[in-house]
Amino acid sequence: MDLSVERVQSVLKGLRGELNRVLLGKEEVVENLLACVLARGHVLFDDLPGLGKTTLAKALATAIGGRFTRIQCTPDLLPSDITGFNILNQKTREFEFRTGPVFADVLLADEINRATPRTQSALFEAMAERQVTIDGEAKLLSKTFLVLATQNPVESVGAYPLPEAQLDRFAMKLRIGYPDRKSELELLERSSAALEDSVAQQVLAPGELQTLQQAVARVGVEANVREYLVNLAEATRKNPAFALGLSPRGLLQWQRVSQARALLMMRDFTTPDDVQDVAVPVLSVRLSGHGGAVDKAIESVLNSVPVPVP
Amino acid sequence: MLSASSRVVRNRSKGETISLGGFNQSRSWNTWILAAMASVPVMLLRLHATTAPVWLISEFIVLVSLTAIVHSYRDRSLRTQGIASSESSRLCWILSGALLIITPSIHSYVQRRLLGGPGEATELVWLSMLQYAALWQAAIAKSSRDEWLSFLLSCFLSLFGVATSDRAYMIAVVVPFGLFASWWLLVKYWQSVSRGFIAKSTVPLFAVRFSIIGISLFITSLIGLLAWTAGSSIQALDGFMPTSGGKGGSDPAARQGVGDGDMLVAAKDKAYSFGPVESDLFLESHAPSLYDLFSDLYGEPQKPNKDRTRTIALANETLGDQKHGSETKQKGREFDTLRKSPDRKMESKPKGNDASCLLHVIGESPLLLRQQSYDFFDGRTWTHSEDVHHDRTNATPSLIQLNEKPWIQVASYGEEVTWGIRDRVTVKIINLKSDRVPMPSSTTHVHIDKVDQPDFLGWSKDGQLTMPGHDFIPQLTVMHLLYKTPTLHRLRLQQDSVSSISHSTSATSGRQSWLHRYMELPASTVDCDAMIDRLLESTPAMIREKWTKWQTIEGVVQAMRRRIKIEPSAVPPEDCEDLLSYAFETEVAPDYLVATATACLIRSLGVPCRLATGFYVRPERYDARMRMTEVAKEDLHTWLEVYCHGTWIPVEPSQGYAIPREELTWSQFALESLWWCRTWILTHPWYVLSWLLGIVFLVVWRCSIANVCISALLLPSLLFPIRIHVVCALWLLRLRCWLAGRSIPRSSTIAKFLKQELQSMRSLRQEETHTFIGYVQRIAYAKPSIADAYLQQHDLTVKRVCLWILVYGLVSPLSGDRRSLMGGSPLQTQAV
Repeated sequence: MDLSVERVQSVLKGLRGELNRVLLGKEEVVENLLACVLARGHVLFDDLPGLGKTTLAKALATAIGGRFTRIQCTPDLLPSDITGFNILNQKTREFEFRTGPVFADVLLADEINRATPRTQSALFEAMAERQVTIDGEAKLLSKTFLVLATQNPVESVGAYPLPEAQLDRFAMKLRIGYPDRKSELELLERSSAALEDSVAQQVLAPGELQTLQQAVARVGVEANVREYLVNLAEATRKNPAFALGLSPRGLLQWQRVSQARALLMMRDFTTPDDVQDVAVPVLSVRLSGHGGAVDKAIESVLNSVPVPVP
Repeated sequence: MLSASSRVVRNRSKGETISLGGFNQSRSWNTWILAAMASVPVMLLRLHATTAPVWLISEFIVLVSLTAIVHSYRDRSLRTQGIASSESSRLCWILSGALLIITPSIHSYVQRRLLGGPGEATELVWLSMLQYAALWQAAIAKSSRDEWLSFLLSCFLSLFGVATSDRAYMIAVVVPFGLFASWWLLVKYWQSVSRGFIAKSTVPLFAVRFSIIGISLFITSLIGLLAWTAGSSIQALDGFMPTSGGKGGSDPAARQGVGDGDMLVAAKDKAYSFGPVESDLFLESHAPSLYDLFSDLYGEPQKPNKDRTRTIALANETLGDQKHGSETKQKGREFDTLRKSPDRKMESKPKGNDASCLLHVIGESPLLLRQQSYDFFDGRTWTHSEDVHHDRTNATPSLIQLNEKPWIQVASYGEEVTWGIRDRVTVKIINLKSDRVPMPSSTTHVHIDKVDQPDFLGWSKDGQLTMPGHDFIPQLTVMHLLYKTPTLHRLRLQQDSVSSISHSTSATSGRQSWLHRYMELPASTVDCDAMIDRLLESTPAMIREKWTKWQTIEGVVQAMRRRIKIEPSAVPPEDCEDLLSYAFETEVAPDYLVATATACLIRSLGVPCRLATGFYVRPERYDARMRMTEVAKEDLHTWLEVYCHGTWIPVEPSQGYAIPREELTWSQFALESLWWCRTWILTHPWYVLSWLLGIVFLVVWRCSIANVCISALLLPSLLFPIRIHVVCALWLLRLRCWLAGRSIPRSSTIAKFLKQELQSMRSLRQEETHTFIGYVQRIAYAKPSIADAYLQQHDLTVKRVCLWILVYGLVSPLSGDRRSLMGGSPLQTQAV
C-alpha cells in the first residue's frame, strides 16, 4: 500500500495534533516519539511519575489504531506474566495459549527497572526479535509492536537498573519534564470542564503505520551524511566522558530515527540537521556516563565533528 | 620537575587517554618540531657556505612547509582512517619522501648550472638530505618506532652541526634543541610507562626523576662539550670528516675539513690561482702597474690646449723622485679629471684568473682599499703636495706582538670619532705593481709573515703606507691588515659636531696650513651653495636647518648618489671648462668626476676633504669555494675622504657602489632609525598622510571592502549553472561571516547557518529563504535528480536569492552588511 504525499502530510499532521492535544506543551517530545514510532524503535521514558507517560502511551495507541496494554513491573512479576503461558483446558484436555500483554501494538511497561532481570530479559526478546518463545514455540508479535517503558530516576531502592546491553534495545530515551505555566493552566481548565480525560482520536487506518514505516526506510541518506554519522560514532568512542562508545546497532538505529525525522519534515532525504536533532535522545539511552554530564558530552561530540558542506 | 608538569594517566583498557603536558594531543608534532629544530644548524652551515642564500632559504621554507602540510594531512587521515594503509599509499609516501630527500642535490646541480661556481659542498648536500629525511620521517610517522628514527636523525644532525662549526651562535641554536630533546625523551618514557601499567594516578618516584634529570644533563653536557671543543674536534675527527686535501684524500667539492691543505700545497706549484696563504714565495711578474691600469680603465688624460697655461706645484723633492725613482712613483703625483673616453678595444678578455687579477682579498666586502690620495684640485687636475703630510694619526711604524705574531703598528686613532670593533682584512698582491699598500682608510696594524722589522713599512707623503726600498711590493706578498670602522653616530646626531669640524679647521688654519689645501676650491668653480640648494631642494628647510654638518655632508652625498648615474665612458668634452656643471647637467659621469664634484661641494661647506683612488672590493666577485674576493683592474675606483677629528673618513658619492660600513650599537641603530624615519616623514608629508589615510580607510572598512571586492569577483558565476552559483553564494556568505569576525562552529549545519544569515537580508521573504535553504540542502545531501526536480519548481526563487546574496555585498557595502553580520546572535548558541 502506497500513501500519497498529501495523505502522508495529513496523517502526520493528525498524529501530531492528537498527541499534542493530549500532552500539552511538549511538541519536541511528541516529535521524537513519532520519529521513534516511524523508525520501529522502542522508547524509554526516564522521568518522574505523573507527567503524562501513560496518557501519552494510550493516546498514541489510539491514534495509530493499535491495541494498548500496560504492565506494572514489580519484583514478583514473572516472564509469563508478560509473554503469556500455556494452560490446560479442563474441558478439552489440551493446552491453550493464554496471551500476555506483550501481544499488543503499544505496550506500556511502567517502572521497568523494578522487574527482575529475568523478567526484563523476557521483554527484551520481544523488543529485539518481535517474537516470544513459550515452551520452545516462537510466537510472532504485531508488526508495529512498540514498547514504551518508564523508569523512575529518583527511587533507586529495590530497583534493578537496566544494563547497557539491554538499554541498547531502546531507540530513544525521552524526558517529558514538567509542563510550562501556560500548558498547566490549560490542563487545569480542561479537567474542570470534563469529568474524563481528553481522549485521542484514531488517525491512521489499519496498515497505514506499517506503510509509513516502510516509507521511512526509503528516505535517502547520502554518502556524506553516512560518513558524518560514522564520524560521530567514532567521536563517541574516543570521548573519555563515555564508558562505552556507540555500538553499530545504535548507529543503525540513529540513522533510522534520522530518516524518520526527515519524513516528519516531509523530506525524502536526510540532512545533518536530522542527525543532530535526534542525537541527544538516541545517544543518551545507550551512552552511559556520569548523570547530567552525558548530555553535555553529547553536545561536545556534536561540536567536535565537522558537518559536511557542499 | 615531573610534579610541576600536568599529567593524567588513566586506564588505557577503558579507552581513556594519556596526557602529559598536552603532549599526547599532538604527539607526532613534537617529533616534527624536533626535526625542524635540528635542521636549523644544518641550514646555518649551508647559509654560511652558499653564494645564493635566497635560493637556499626558499628551498628550506618550501620543503619544511611541505613536510608540515604532509604531517597535518597525515595526522588527520590517521585519526579518521586509523593506521591501516594500503600498499599503494605506502609506496606513494616512500616515493614522495625520496623525491623530497634528493631535492638538495637537485638544487645544488641546478644552482651549479644556472649560477656557475662549484655549487654546494658534497658533505653539506648529504647533510641536507639527511635533514629532510628526518623531517619527512617525522611528518609521516605512524608508530613510535618511526618517531624514534626521526629523533635519532635529528640528534645526529644537531650534534654534527655543532661539531663542525666553530661559531658561537651555534650553541644558542643547539641548546634549545637539547632541552626539547630531553623533554621529548621524558614524554616517551612516560608513554611507555603508562602502556605497561594500569593506574588511576601516579606518584613520581625518585628513580624516575633521577633518570630523566640524568639523561637531560648528559645530553646537555655532551652538546656543551662538543660546542666547547668545536675547534679541536675538527682535528680529532681527522680521517672521518670530508677533507679538502693536503693529506692524501681530497673531495673536489669540499670547502673546509680536516687536513685543509690543498691551497698550501698547490700554491707552491700554481701560486697565482690561489688565495692568500702564508708563503714566502715572492715571485716577480711583468704585470701592469696601477697607473697603467688607470689609463686602461678611465682613458688617457687629454693633453691641455696649447694656449692654456697650467701650473702644477711640484716640490723639488718630488721632481727628484721622478727623476730617480720608480716609474710607478713618477706617475702617481696627479690625477687628471679630463680624460679621453676609455678605449674599449684595449680591454682584452683575460686569459685566465692569473692575468686579470690584481689582488686577492680575504675579509669583508664591499671594502674600499685606498692607494692614493690627492689634496689639491685646480679645476682640471688633482695633485698632491709633497709637504702637506701632517696627518697626526699616522705614527712611525713600530713593532708589537699580537697573538704571538709580529705586527707593525702604523697608526693610532683617538676617541674623538667613536670606533667600532677592529676588523681584519688579508690582501695578497698578485699582479699589482706598486710600492703602496692597498689598505682601508683606518688601518692600524700590518702583519707580513716573517717580517719583524718596523721599518719595512713607511708612510708616503700623501699618507699612504709604502714599502720603502722596493719599487713595488713583491708579488704574492700576503699582508694582514687590522683596521677600524668609524661610528658616525655622534657626528650625525650631535649638534656640536659642526663646531668640532669647524674648530679643528680653524685651529689648524691658525697653527698649521696643511689643511688649507684640502679646502681650496678652483677659481672657476660655480656657485656651490646654489648647487647644494638644488641638490637638497627636496628636503624641507625646516629639516635642513636642524641638520648637523655631517648630516649636511651625507645629504649632499646621498643627493649625488641619487642624481648622477655612473658611466665610465661619459667623459666631458675636451673643451669643457666647468666639470662640476657638466656633471650636474648631464647627470651621467665617471666616478672620478662625481667624486670631484662632490669634493667641491663639501669643500664649499668648509669641510676638508680629499680625493682617494684605489680598489673597490666587489661582493659579486666573492669566490665561495676559495673564500676570497678577487680584485681586478675593473675594480679601480675613486671616492672621497672627509677629514674629521683628526682622521679621514671615507665617503662614497658614486651610485652603484656600497656606502662604507659603519659599526653601530643597537641603541645607536635604533636612534638612527628613528631619526631616519622622522626625516623621511617630514620630507614626504603628503605621501605619509595619504598612506595613513589609506591604511585607516582599509582598516576601518576592511570588511566592506573585502565584501565588495569578492562579490564583484563572484558576479561572473552568474554565467555558470545554478548549482555553481549556489555554491559560490554559500561560500560568499561564509566569507562574510568570517570577515565580520564571527566564527562558524564546525557543528553548524547549512540550514542553521543560512537561516541566520539570510534573515539579516530584510528584503528576502521567509518563503524565499526556506526555498533557498531547501535547494541547498538538496544539493548537499540528496540525489541530483531530487535537487533538479526541486529546482524546476523553484527556479526563479533560487536564482533571485543567489543574485541578491551576491549583489547585497555591492549595494550595502559600507555599513549595512557589517552591522547585520555583527549584530546577529552568535552561531555557537544555535549549533546544538
